[in-house]
Amino acid sequence: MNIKLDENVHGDVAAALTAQGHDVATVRDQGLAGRPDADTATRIIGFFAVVLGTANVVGGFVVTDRMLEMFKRKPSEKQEAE
Amino acid sequence: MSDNLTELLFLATIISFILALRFLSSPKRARLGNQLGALGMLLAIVVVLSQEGLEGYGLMAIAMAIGTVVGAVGARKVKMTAMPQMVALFNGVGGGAAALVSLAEFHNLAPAAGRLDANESVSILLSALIGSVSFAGSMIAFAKLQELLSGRPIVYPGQKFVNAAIMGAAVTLAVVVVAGQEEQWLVVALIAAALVFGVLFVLPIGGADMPVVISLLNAFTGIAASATGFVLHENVLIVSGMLVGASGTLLTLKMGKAMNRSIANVLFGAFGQVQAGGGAAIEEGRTVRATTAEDVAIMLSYARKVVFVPGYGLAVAQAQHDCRALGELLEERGVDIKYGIHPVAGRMPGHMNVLLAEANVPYDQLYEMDEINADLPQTDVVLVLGANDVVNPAAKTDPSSPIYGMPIIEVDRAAAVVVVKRSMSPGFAGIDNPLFYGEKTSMLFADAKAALEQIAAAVKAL
Repeated sequence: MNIKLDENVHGDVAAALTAQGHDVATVRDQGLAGRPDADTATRIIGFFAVVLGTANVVGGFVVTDRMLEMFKRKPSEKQEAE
Repeated sequence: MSDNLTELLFLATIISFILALRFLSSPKRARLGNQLGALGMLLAIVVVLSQEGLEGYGLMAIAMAIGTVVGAVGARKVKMTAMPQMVALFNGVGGGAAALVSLAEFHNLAPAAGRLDANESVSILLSALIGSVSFAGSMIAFAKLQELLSGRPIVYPGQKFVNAAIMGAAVTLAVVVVAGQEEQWLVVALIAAALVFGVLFVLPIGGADMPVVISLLNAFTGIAASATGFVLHENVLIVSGMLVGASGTLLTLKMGKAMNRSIANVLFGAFGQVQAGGGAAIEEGRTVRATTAEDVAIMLSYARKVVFVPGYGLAVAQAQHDCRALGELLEERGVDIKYGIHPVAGRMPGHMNVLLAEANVPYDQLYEMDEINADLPQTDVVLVLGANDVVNPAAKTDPSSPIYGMPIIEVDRAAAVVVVKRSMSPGFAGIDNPLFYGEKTSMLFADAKAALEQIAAAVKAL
């Protein structure tokens, strides 16, 4: 059986279940300890954080590309003209 | 995805970021570097999203779609002249994102006091504090550059005391929370104080110094993101935040050097306020020599070497194309054309290069300040187009000038100088310019675009 154990379950339980042939994943092993399920407030704040972060990342790369594109073209055009 | 694979892919991301920065330092590979960085970022996002224990994909997809549309449309639509504002906006939202993540994490982790250990709460509070300052400060920088707010320093008595008190309050709140009072309202109050501080801290800084401020706030955003990385236990975020922090810091220092001013002076000097005292040594009753487009056309046509010194005024007048056209016309007549670019020409480093590149000015005609200064004594005519402070000889000669010591393009060393300017009003920094009264200087009072069109027409008619 696949079993997932929350962080409040003692480590011995996981060991015992593993010994009986079950697949055990624990919240602690997955680095999720201390992370309760997100509530509505967390989701709302997180939503805006993702909007802002994505705007920053996408906008930053796109605008940089737009600027650099103009530079790249120039010397080659000049060479063609000569 | 296994932990090992995840870590390996994050390592690949970090390597791509570092290579991207490396490539960006040469014009040839700069675009490739940026694309490599974007690819690394995409990889990081995919890896993060495929980690176990994640939920709320639908909500995230909506948020990312909105962010992508806003970012991409903004980046596509923005005029090249408005680039510094755009950089301020993008930087601000990055800081805001870091602050929001830390708030969400605090909300999530600390329903009961004592749930957080000290290094977690310190990371959360640093991210909230620095991210909020960066967000609010960037918004004010944006407003100043967009001229929604006056570009002049906004000062009042006791300002530094007020700012210090607000910062002190924010830091005190942070200390109280770390000490164990894990109350959410304290964190909200801290963020509020940091936002107010961000606003008040940028208000007294003049519009001319906004690029330095943006660069500094950019470093702040990087550090905030890095702190968020500690909160989320994500090495990739710690490292990439630090790369931003380090490059922002280096750029800030470099700009300070280009203006011969310390960062402290930029931040706390209320630049431009000293105008009444500074530069007062210039005697009254000075005269300027006005000239006409026809005379300038003759001067330029019979010169051997001409240097254009473009400033932000050129870009405001949307005259880059006319500038290039006049340059080509003169080149056909055998005149040697160069462009002298001051490191802080335009509104941020490299801004003028971008604006000229947009107008198809060949990259190899653009010369940096030091290169062009060596050339100026052999130059027949310098055409100053909408530049002011960066050619102000007071920076070399007048110790009482606020810009004294700033490296300038030494146009007064050329045989003749023509300044195209709409009026005698002072430049962005609000400082009088003795160049305009110089013996070798003639003034062409006109909008840069109209002036260049008239000069070009007169050259053709010769």
